[in-house]
Formats: sequence, C-alpha cells, structure tokens
Amino acid sequence: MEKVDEIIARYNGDRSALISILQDIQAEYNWLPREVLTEVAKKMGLSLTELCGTVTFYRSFRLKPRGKHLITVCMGTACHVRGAPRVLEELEKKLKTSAGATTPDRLFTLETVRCLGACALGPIVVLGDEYHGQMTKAKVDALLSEVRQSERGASQ
Amino acid sequence: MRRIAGRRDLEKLRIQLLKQTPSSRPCITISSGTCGRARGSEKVGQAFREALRKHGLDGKVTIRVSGCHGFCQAEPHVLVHPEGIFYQRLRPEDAEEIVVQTLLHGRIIDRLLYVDPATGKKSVYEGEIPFYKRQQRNLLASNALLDPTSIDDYIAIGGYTALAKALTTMRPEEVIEEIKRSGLRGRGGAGFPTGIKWELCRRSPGDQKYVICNADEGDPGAYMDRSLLEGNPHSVIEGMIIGAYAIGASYGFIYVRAEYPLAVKHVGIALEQAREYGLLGEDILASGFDFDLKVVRGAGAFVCGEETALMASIEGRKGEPRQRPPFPVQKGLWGKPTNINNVETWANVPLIINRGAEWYASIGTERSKGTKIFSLVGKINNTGLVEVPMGITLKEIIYDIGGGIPKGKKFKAVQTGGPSGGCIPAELLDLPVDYEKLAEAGSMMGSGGMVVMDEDTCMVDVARYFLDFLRDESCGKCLSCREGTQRMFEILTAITEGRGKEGDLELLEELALVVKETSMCGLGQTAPNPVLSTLRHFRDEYEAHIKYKRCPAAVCKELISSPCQHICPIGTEVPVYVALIAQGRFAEALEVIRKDNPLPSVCGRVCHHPCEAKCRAGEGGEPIAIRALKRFATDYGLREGLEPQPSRGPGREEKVAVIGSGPAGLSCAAELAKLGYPVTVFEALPVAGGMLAVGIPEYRLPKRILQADIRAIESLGVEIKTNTALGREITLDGLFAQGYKAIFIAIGAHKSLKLGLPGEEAEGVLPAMDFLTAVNLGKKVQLGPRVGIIGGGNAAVDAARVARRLLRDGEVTIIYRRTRAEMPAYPEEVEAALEEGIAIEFLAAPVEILSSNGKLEGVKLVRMELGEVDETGRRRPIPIPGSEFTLELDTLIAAIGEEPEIPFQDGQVRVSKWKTIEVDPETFATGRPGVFAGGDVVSGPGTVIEAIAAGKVAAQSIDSYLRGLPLTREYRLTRPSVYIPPVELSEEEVIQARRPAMPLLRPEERASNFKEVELGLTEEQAIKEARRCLRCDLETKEGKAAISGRAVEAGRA
Amino acid sequence: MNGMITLRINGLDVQVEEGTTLLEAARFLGFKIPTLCYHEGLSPYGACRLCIVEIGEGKRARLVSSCTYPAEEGLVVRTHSERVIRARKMLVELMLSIAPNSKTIQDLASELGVQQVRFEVRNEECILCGLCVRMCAEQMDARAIGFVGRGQERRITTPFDMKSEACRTCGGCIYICPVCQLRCQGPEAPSAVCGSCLQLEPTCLEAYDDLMCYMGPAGVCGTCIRPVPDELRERERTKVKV
Repeated sequence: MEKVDEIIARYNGDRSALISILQDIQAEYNWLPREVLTEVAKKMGLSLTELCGTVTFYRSFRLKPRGKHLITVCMGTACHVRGAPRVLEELEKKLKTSAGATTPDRLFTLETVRCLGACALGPIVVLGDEYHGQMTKAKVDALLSEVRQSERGASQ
Repeated sequence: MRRIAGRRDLEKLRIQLLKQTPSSRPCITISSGTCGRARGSEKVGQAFREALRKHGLDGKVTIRVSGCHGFCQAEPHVLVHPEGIFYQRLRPEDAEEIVVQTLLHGRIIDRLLYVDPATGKKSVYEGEIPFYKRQQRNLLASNALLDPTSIDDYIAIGGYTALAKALTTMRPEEVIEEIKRSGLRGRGGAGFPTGIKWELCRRSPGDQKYVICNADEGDPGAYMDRSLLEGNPHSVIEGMIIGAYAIGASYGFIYVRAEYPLAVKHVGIALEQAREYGLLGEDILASGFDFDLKVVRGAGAFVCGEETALMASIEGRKGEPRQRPPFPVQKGLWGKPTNINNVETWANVPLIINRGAEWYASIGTERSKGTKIFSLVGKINNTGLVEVPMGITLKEIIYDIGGGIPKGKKFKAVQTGGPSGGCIPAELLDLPVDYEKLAEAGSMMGSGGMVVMDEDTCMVDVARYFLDFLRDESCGKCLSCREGTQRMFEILTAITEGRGKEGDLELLEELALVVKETSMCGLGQTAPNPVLSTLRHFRDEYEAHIKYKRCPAAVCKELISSPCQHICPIGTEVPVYVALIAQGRFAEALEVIRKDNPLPSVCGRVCHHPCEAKCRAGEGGEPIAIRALKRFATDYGLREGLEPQPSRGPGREEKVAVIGSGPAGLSCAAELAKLGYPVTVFEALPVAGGMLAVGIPEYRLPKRILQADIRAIESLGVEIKTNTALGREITLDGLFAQGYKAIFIAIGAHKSLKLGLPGEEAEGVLPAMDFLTAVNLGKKVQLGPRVGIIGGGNAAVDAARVARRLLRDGEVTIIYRRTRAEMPAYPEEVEAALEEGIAIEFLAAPVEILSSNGKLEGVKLVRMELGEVDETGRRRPIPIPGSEFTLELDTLIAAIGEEPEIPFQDGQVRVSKWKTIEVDPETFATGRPGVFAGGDVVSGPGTVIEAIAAGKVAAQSIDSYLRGLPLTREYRLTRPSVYIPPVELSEEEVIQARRPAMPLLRPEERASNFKEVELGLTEEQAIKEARRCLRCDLETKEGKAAISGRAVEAGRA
Repeated sequence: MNGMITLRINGLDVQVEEGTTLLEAARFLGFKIPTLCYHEGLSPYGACRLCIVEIGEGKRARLVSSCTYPAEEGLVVRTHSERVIRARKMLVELMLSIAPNSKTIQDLASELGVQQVRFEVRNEECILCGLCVRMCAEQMDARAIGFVGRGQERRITTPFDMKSEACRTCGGCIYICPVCQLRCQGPEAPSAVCGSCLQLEPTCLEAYDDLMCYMGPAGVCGTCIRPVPDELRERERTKVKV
C-alpha cells in the first residue's frame, strides 16, 4: 500500500483531490481493488460508503481488472449515424463478450465511449493508443486477426 | 526563460521573437490535433524532419507541429508558408516529394491538392478552398500559426497583449463593461450574457472567488473545445486571467474531460510556461494582481458539464447537480462566488479586449454577437470545425462550407445542441444560426455540435439513441429524470422494434413534458428535447413505424429484418434468394423471386433497385448486385425451361376488368387470377406491356424477356385484349354493363410534356414517348442526321441511345440544364450513353425553337449556372444573361417528363390538376365504388416496381371489395418466410470480395443494332457475389434464434 | 432586516423566517403538499419531485421542489396549478410502475386521482428516495448504506455489497422506508393501480358494526371496493341519524 500512501501524499491528502488521487491510483494498478479503496477511505478520513458512491458514479473508474487490450468503440452521434452500432455488434459477436466486459481469457476488454471528438474518422475504434477510423465489419475482422496474430507471435 | 516584467517588456519580447523567426521564413505547418495524429500526422512530421535533414534544409526551414486547423476531412495536411499552399491526405512518403518539389523547386504537386467533390476544381492555396472561404476564423486561424507547446509562438503573434492592456490600463469594472458591450454570450450552451455573469460574480460578497473553465465538452459530435485547448491553450488561459482580474478571483480551475488526454497535456505545459514567464502566480506583469490556475480532469460523466455537478466534481464529490438558487456566482465552489465559462467563451475574451467591443458587436445578429465554432459532422462531405459569424444560415454552412451530402443522398435533418437540442428539417434550412432562432425551431445552439443526417437516418432511432445516452448519463437522483428518460427510452425501443401502438406518441409527449418541467437540473430539463423536436418535425416517420410497421430509412432492425426486403415495394425476400444462389440452389432462388413478383424477368433487367441503395454492404463498400443476381436467376429459369407453377385459388364468379397492360395492370391481373378471379386486361396499343413494351428500348429490355413474363401471366388464365382503348372501344359504364364487377384503371402516363417554347409545332420536334413507342412498334421514324434531346431522365437517355442506333452517321446530343451529378437518369445509363458516343451539353436550357417554313432548323440555348440550393438539396440552375448560343438540329426530342391522359369524364372519379387519378393511398379505391386505379396514372411517372406494388395492393383491395369485406389493410413486420443458414467465408474472401462489374457489350458492337447491352453475370460471378451478402435477415432476434437451431422455419411476425 | 421574508402562496401573503423552505411555509398556511422523500427530522433531498410547486409568473414560471427551495422575498407560489397537478399525477404513475405494492404510493395515487399505469411494471420496491441513506447517516450516524452507480444503475447498498462493519442493525432504514412501511397485497395485474384503501365505503358497518379491514389487507371481502350502489347511498342519506 505504499504506492497508495505516496499518491495521497502527492496531493497532500486534499479531500477535493479525491478524483485525481483515484485516477493516479488506477493508472498505477490498472483498476481499483477493494483493499486499495478501503485504504484510501481510511487514510483520507472518508466513509467507505461515500467513497464507493463516488467511485461508482464515474465511468472511468474500473472496479474489475482490465484485459490486456482495451478496445473502445465510439458511440457518439456522428459515429452512430455512420453505423457505429453495427461495428459494436460485430465486435461483441467476434469477441463473444458484451460492451463493458472482459473476455474470459483476459485478453480483451470491450468498452464504449460517448464521443472521442474525432468525428471525421467515424465510426472509430480505439485499440490501446491507436485510433482506427472508418471501421466496417470487414475491418473489425481484420483488426482482431491482426491483434491475435501478434499475440501468437509474442507467445512464441 | 525569465519573468516578463510588464507591458513594455512583453512587447520587447514579442519583437525579439519575430526577429528570430520572421514570417517570411519558409515554414511547414503540420496539422496535428487528435484527429491528425489518428491519421498518422506524427509519422508525416517525422518524415519531413528527415527529408529536410537529407536535403540540407535543416535550420533554414521551420517545421511547426500545430493543433487542429479544423479541416478534419483532409488530415493529415500541411501548409507551406509563406505561400500558403495546402497539401492534404498525406502519407509519410509524400514528405520528401514536397520538400524537393515545392521547397527546393517551387513546383506545385497536383495530386496532393484539395479537390472540391461537387465541381472537381482543385485549390492550391488555403484561402481558395471553399471550406475555408466562407468562414470567419477569428479564433481558429491562430491554431495554424503556432505550436501549442510553445508560449513563444503565442507571444510572437500578439499573445498576452490583451492581458497586459487589461492589467495595466483598465480597471476591473472597465473590463466588465467592455465584455458587456461586446454582447458576448456563453458558448457552452445556454447563451447567458457573459458580461452580466461577471458583474454578478464581482458584486457577490466573498473573501475568495474562483473562475472555472468548463472543458467537459460532453456533447457527442462536438469537439471545438478540444481543438482550442490542444491547439491554442494560451488563448483560454489569457482569457481566464483577464476574467479573474475583472471579477476579483485569485484561483481558477480548468476542468477537462478525461477523454481528452492531449488537451490535458498541452494545457499543463502551457500553464508551466506561463508561470515561468510570470504570467501566472504573484504580481502578474507587475500589476499587483495574483492568480493561478490548475487543471482538473473529469472522470467520465456527461452530467459534470452541468455547472453545479462540475463544481461538486472539483470538490472531490459525486457529480450530482444541486438546485439553483443559489447560483454559482453567488455560492459556488466551497460556497464561494464562482464564475464558470466555456472554453470558447474564455478564448473570445482576449480578442474583445484587443480589438474592442464595437468590433466584436459588429459581427453577428442583433442578439447573438461574434463568431461561433461549429463542429460539422455526420453525413457531410467536409467534416470539420467551422467558425462562422452568427446569423449565417444553416444552408450555407451545410452546402457552401460543408460541401453537401456525400454519395448524392438527400439531406434530412441537422441536429444541433447535442442531447439537449433538437433536429432541424430541410424546410427550415434558411434559418439564420443564432440563439433565439434555433430555440424557436425547437432546438438550441448548445456547444455547437452540428450532426448532419440524410435519408438513411431514422429519426425515431435518433431520438432513441439520445435517450439511451441520457438515461445512462443521468445522475439518477430525481425520479422524473431517471425514470422518465428510462420510460421514454422503453417506448421508443418498442416503436423501433415494431411493438409501437396507438397512444404511444401521446404518452411520450405527456411524459416528455413532465420530465422537462419537473427535473432539477439542465440534463433532465432538456432530455426530452430530441424526442419533442423529432415528434414535431417528423411525426409521420413515427406513425410509419407504429401504424404501417415501416422504417423509411430502413434502419430499425427488428422492424425491417433486412433493409433490402423492407424497402422493396413488394417485399421481395432478397436475402433468401441471394442465400440460395450462394449455395448454388438456383431453381429454388427463382421460386422465391416468382412468389412475390409477377414480372421477375423484367425486373431483373430494368428495376431501379432501391434495395441496393439501402444495402448494408454499400456502407463503406459496394452494395450487393441484387438486380444482377435476380436476372441471373430468371435467365437460368429461361434457359432451363423452368415454367412457373403457381396455384390458382378456388374459382370465383366475379369478372374483373383491368385497363392497361403495363406493370401495374399486369400485376393486378396476375394477383387476381391467383385468387381465382376471371380477369380481362384491355390494352389500347397493339402490343401488351405498357411502358415495358413501348417506352423501354429493346437493348435494355428485349421483347422475348417481356414476352416470357407475359406468357406466364396469361397461363394463369388472364385474357389480354389489345387494340382496345378506354374512351374509344370501352367505357367505365360500358364495362359494368357488360357484367364486370370491378375495374382497375392502370393506363399509365404516356403523354410527353410539352417544352412550352415558341416554335414547338415545327416539323421535326418529337415528343419522346411518341418517338420511343414508334420505334418499339417497328414503325419508321424520320430522324436526323443531327438529333437533340432535351431532358436528363431515363426517357431522355433512352431516346438518345435509340436515336444513336438508328442513325448511321450524324450526331446525337442530350441537352440538360444541370450537371451530371444531378441527372435523374440511372448513372449506368448515362455512362453507357457517353460510351456510345452521345454528347451531353450540361448546364444548357432551351429558350426558343428555330424553324423556317415550319421545319425545324435548330434550338436556341442559354448557358446556366448553379445557384442556391433548393429544398430538394439540388442547386437551382439560373440562366446566365447574354450567353445564348444556337445548336443546329434536324430532330428535337422533348423528354422532360410525362403525364397521364385521362380519356373519360366521371363525376365520381376525381382527377387532380396534374391529370392523375385521385385514390385512397392505402387501398387505391377511387371515388366510384368498384373502380380502383394505380400505377403512373395515380402517381405520375414512377418506377416499374412501384407500379407492380400498386397492382398487387389494388388486387387485395378488389378482393375485399368483391367479398363485401371492409377495405382495410393489414400491416406486418418484414420477415423472410424461411431462414437459410449462412455460408462461411474465409478471412481472405471477406477482405478481398468485390462487387463484379456487369459484363457489357463493347460500344463498337452496339453501334447500330438493338442487341442487349448488359450480358448478365456468369455462374461463378453470381455465386461469389451472393456469398458477399451480409445476411442482415439473420440479425433480428428471430433470425438469430433460427440459425442457432431453435427454429428453422419462421413465419411472418 | 430582521430575517423575515414575505411571499405569496396561492394568493395568501405569509411572513416566514429566512431559511424557511417553500414546503414549510405552505404547510404552515395549511396547504397540503404531497411528499415522499421528505422527512422533518432529516435534511431535505428533492429526489421524488412530488412536492413541486409553481413559482414565478408568466413565461418565467417554473416548477421547483418546495422541500429544497428557500423562501424568497416577493416570490409568488402556486401549490396546485394545472401544471403541478398534471406533473404530480405522472410522477405517481411512474412510482406505481416501480413499486405497486407500496400502500403509501397507492394511497397517493388515490388522492391524486391516478387511474392508470401505462408503463411496464417492474416490481422493484425501491424508488431511491434516499430516506434510508439519510436516516443512517444523519440520525444513526452510521453511514453504512449509500447510493452507488448512476442513472438506471443507481441503487442503495453497503460498500462492495458486503456486510458493513458500520451497520448496527438498528432497523432505522426499514422503519423510514415509504415502500416497506405500509405494504399491501397490491392490485391484480395488469392495472397496477388499486385505490382500494382510500375509496373504502364502510358498507360492512351495517352488518358488523365495524370496519373489518382495519389492519389486514383492505378490500379482501370485496364489499368495500365496489362502488356503493345508488340505492344504498340513498338509503343511508335518508336514514334518520340517531
């Protein structure tokens, strides 16, 4: 828990910096485990109930570990009008999981976001740091096969 | 870096920076906001650096990595200074070419220039590009002039001079007065007058005051704030310092949503640099004023764009809004007076201070001043950020700047204001954009997102989408917002799935009003807007979903099953027969086609395939060649001699008369015969088929093909009597007297419209229909050698191609008053005409027909130019005065349209002013009991498949009528009658599959004969194309269940 | 100023101390405003929206929750305008669709004349009024339960849905819950609206000298919930009162 204490100290334990503190902790641990949250509540003098309320209020906080590859589909209006729901469906079908969930092999987490602000590229899928624009069903298949291939290559 | 000591010191620094990097020095600016980077601008930048190094230009040419310039469509793009040359859609390989060709040799690289999709014109310089020309980029232009990670760049272009002016020469009250007089209003959405807000905050008692920049830009489709923060963060910072000074705040926050990592990064860098220069912190510019800023990241909650929720978030709590009063300017962060403004509002402040309130107030309308940045996205050619003065019309933004709708689709609505706003339809496109006018139309300005929607967007689906968004983002505290949005969503979902019922719309409106009035915060109060505005402007679309089970845009999956089947006027089970072809089961495919279509071979040749326009495979690829596949199946049937085996119903007594043997009449007859009725079809001409026989030329629809379908109909027991005309050999009363119990009038629209020009009576002027009919009936026609055809539809092109074949030598010219893009004729036909050597004179209209001694000599034409866009989305052609010219002709064919000719007068059968017969739109019954009408005589010139549909519906109505049943129609969800298991495609096949080009007779081989031009797909091509079908029918719940084995046969829902 | 504020409620002027809410002021005057998530001993929350009143005049008139809105000098308030009644009815209709088995909500429906529920009934039994949360935090000082999630996912629970160390099993949350407080068998589907209890006509008095359904499920015998026949009503009316 030293990391947690360090991060809290970085913000001087300031109550109003709670969200930034949680963001930094999540960046460190990849998600927000229960023990970590309990520690934060204790160190910052917050009721655990209130902390849970805050953490579950914001979408960017994850209470479950994330898969290795994060695939985000933009569901903004411009992307919607250009066919994003079908791209999402194809991903759900191919990954056999639903939006917000992680595949059982912990390889992929599929999420949606309500507009990344890159509407000229719509429909967009973000894989890690890379933006992939003008997605179609065919391109989804190509993208997943690329990732799977690189995984196979890495494990060999 | 050292502290800037004061105003003069700042000026000194600016001059020094300009000397170091004079604007005359060559510079390559790479647009590199988030979009640019997503498209590879960083690699392009890298390539430029290497290329400059390689050619020894390192140090002589500046490379500037700027933020977004707003023209997202063209990313990655660069500007070459000082000329201002614009190169777009670059790949890393292009960098070296630009360095060598343009920088070293001063040559322009043609292929990298911007091309206007409407006119084909290329633009060399940024200022020439239509997208930029109509904008007034007071805020955004700076993005191209600086590297956002360099405060020096900002200072060099005059940055922070407004701050210096305000701090050293103006009192806080004077600053507020200036902002008030400028008329600046909040750019975040509500449009509250900024100066007044500042004044209220200043006047509120409090020892500590704050300013906040709301950069939580949550509206999907809006990203101008991101662009400003990424590309010019100092403009916002400067605005905030000035505002804080005016209000008396000592600390500020910039709240950026978590999804904008690059903006967070650039703002952070900018803050550090500003501190180093002493522009933030204590005693700024030696004025005695202390102020500092901090960046706070959002954590993924749209509601945090609401002021009170945002403040709660900064305080480290849940983003739950609270009631107002008290307002933030009275009690905000930690109970202290707080002024919150949007990014764009802050960015306007330095401009106003520097250039004055009068200047700012001179832009815009009476109550909405200044410029506004809109993000123009969706179904639009030029996606990007557009900065325009308030008061510009939506039409200008969408067509002149945005370049109109891609793929020639029809504009439907533009959604403004995000989830709090509404949709504005085509009729209101002349609306000037300002706060009040948009609110009056049922929408709002919002943050400036403008999502353009076309005919393929379903407005019910859009309303549902926004409610899905809002119920997800609602904080959930108020019952009205939380439950209200959920229930509205449920009702809309039911409607889009075909479960809508009577009373749903009234309930929706009632609920919407309560949610609007009783919710505590802006999210709930504006949540019903998308629903209310779509109900206001597109109510018929909702009713189509509920009453007729139709989604006109072919989007709502559970309602439509597959868009092709749904949009087909007769509901042809396209996915079924395509799936059967994919498996080589051609005879079964033919059966499926024949089941619903009494003229299948004809349609396989000439249907205008609305199915292909909605085909999902066409969204980012090419639609399936559905018509070609239908033709393949019907040709297979003809080759193998597969005669149709339809079953006739039990014999009925009542005789029915069908007048007209075109597609409407023949279908009605076939349908009635299948139901067991004795039918006689009366045809005025010597041959049966109507337009199919006399309008469409042989090379498009061979007579033997038409005959095959007609024979099949006759084999049902239908009797066809030719040379029998209504008003000549038969009359309505006469038919009833002869014992017919019902009559279907389907005499079509065969009379060509007159040109209405002086000299039209001259010999040599032919109406198109007369010409085509004569040729099709084998009569001799006096023609040419110089033939002109006025018109741009299929009749015109048909006439031209027929004339071409009849003339041994000579010229055939089509004269059309707009451009090729607007020609209503099928694109393949126009293409074929050009291949056959037919000339087309675009943008020309006839003014006078020249003749001497009663014989045609030529036609006087005037040049046209395209003016403003009209309600159909096409530009109106306007004659250019003084541009008349003459075309010498021997024959002039008038092909500008057709109308029906009603050869009878009947008190009960009403005829409209367009000479069409008026009928009940659902049952096709006329005013006279027992008399029905359909096809072109009712709709005016239409398509074959629509006429067939009319004939089939009329047959059902006639059947009900003859049985003494009420003439009501039942409407069902579209479903295939069987689910064929899908084929498995290999990954390679998926990636490589392409739509086949229809094999055509070579132009030389077509020259003077009437051989069929389209040759039909080979078996291999057909199977391969059929395999490309995405099988949308398997995506409904029923379809999925069918394939997973739980049910194989499925009835219509 | 001595901290007194004058405002006009339903045409009547009333003077209240600064800090008084519109709800308190209206009730002081005797006007009945329905509430659900309001409790005198707990801080006002403004979640159920039932207590809405119309403030202001003309185009600027709007609806606000009276339990949270502080009295303002010169404010014009209408507690029973057409807008208010229409809104309250819809709100109750929404509540019924969530928790039809709550007698409290059924009674509210009867009072307001709500006779239909046009939404699919969910039987969730929690309308997220937050009384239990505030009870636990403010009265019992335990803070064992709170809101988690947002929008449709919002619910009340202990941290991580696990047994809370802070919970002293005092039962305060159950006590204060308007849904649990008075439960009833509820109506038969599909109407989700009952109206029995408040429309009782004590016809059984004739035979039993008592209202037989005092604490048990009201209307079980079926007598009371039938509209009283006119002849019986007439007989009652003309009977000589002893």
